[in-house]
Amino acid sequence: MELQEYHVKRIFKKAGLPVLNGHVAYTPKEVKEIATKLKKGPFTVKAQIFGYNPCYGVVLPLGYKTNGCFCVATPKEAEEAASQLLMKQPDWLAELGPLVDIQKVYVEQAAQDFVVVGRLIFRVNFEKQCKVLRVEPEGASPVEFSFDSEISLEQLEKAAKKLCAKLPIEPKDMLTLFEKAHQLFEFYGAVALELSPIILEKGTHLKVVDGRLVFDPNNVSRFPELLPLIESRIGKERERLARKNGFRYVGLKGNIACITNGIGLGWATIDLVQRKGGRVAALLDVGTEPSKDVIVKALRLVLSEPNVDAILVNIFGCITRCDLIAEGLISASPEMVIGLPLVVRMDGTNADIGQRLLFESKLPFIVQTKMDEAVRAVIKKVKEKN
Amino acid sequence: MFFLPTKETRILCQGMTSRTGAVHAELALAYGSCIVAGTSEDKNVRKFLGVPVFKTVAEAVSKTKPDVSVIFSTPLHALADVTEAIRAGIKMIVCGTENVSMHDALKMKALANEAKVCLLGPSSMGIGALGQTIVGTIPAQLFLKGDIGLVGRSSSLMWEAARQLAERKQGLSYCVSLGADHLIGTSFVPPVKALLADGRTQQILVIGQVHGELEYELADFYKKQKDKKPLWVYIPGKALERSDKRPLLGMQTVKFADIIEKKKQALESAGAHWVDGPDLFGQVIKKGRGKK
Repeated sequence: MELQEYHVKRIFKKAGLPVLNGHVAYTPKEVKEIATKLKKGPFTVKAQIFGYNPCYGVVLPLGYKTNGCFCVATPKEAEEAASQLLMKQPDWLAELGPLVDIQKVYVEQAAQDFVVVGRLIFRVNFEKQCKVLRVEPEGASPVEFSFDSEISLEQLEKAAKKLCAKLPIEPKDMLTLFEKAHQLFEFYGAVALELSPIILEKGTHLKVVDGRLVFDPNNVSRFPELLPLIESRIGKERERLARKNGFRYVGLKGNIACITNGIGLGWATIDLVQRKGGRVAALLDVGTEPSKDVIVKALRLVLSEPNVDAILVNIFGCITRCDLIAEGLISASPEMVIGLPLVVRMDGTNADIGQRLLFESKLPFIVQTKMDEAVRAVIKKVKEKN
Repeated sequence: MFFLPTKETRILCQGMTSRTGAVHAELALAYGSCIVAGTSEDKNVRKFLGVPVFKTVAEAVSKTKPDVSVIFSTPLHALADVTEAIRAGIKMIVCGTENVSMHDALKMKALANEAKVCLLGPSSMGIGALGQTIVGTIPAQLFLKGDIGLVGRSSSLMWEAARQLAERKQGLSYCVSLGADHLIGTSFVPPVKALLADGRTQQILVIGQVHGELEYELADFYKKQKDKKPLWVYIPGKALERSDKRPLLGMQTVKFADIIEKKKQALESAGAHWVDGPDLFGQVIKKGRGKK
């Protein structure tokens, strides 16, 4: 979950991190006005796209002109650059998913007379189950410091020194920057915070040219003001919709849609379907406590995938009561699954009641109690159909 | 320190009167679990399901001496509840809360490590000792009692495995759920170590996960054991991959099959056996009986 560049920079600025002067703009005219106000060029003009910063981490040289990023000398040229970007759907966006118009650009005073110092990254390392502070001094090998929950001042100092080893600045200036970045990382409980790169302007001022702030989906509810600004990535509509409903969702390229409770069971179901020669269109995990209408929503979502030829519902009830799942399936099915085979596998809590309800509904459910038999049944149905 | 619970293990239930807390406390009590105390957000509750409810964990600890605490709280409160349990001197904690934030999970881990407390979870369903007790939310009533120790990340798949074993008249000795979240307090090693030492357990089945490196830690540990009970491992997700658009690098794709293959090699070279599919638990493990 990320913000667009201009939101990130706003947050950085508020936290006291030295970013370059800049503003977001929606029209070429605004771009010109902002550039004029910034006075001294050159200026960078960058397309703002959810979850993707096309020239991330690069200090743009004058004359740069690629993938939605421009570096120009005058306000007039900035205006021209913006008119090439705004309300357009460039080709380089296509690989990210369905095309979107670029609606905003970020105008910034470009860095001048500078040396690149390096990069600073705080992140949670899932593999090693700790937090990591990584510094990447320009032209030298990166150094990592890991810490389990709180970083010591000693580690921060060490890391800051690594980054300003050959610079004509006081290590404590760098330390201040590190401390502010660390505070921000902790404040938002971020998955990652990057300052990339940090530069030294005119031999005196440290500046942050670009940055990323990756939020933890389980922590953003603590920051309601950010929710409307956060987007995961463009192009994955169903994933987004699924998350809104509390589902986990994986879109794949086959023709069997799977609904399971629990992601482990879901992945195992996919494993089994593929091994038996089927192809999965999507996996939707309804979580551990789905209610009746949750099942309706889940069915609706997987059916919105193109190319679905059959549906496999694989539920192992523990907290989940199979009779509730059955009721959900029955109330959803007549309107939605006409003509599509729907295989239901149920086991666990109240599975017998659930199965009886499905039988009594007289709807064409194919009911199974074992996972491998259910998978075999759904693949057979798909083969009959094609 | 991790320990395998018995019928006598005294359980505290934090958040006992919450919706999930109530459901699971009732199931556990029906199974015979010795729940000695509860705590509740509602400070007026004095008794729930016949169990005394206290205002604080400290009070519950001083009056009822629980060995383990099971926590059912909401994601934003889980850290505070785990902290309270650690401060009150509880030595093993099952945190069943799902969707705990990463920073909170790391903080819990750090606090537990410092206090030498065994923290299962977050997102752990706890421990079931078949025929004896449920510490947490293990649906032990659905499984058979037997000699296989089951340890896993994803609980839904653990139940599936236990069920397939039951169909073949194979039962479990213990069932330990570590939690499927990225960041969890206890890895495979402590429960597997306890199961290797346990007299009732003859074989161990581990349900691993693509993410993380805990399976390598398990492989290292198992390799060093002299008296090995057969260890079986399955990891789901072979058919999936993860793609990420990275600035400047373009599309990066990681095939889960490659990660699983690596983990498989590490575990097999440590002497463990591999389960190739989620429909094979019953078949292979029966074959493997007594195999060393």
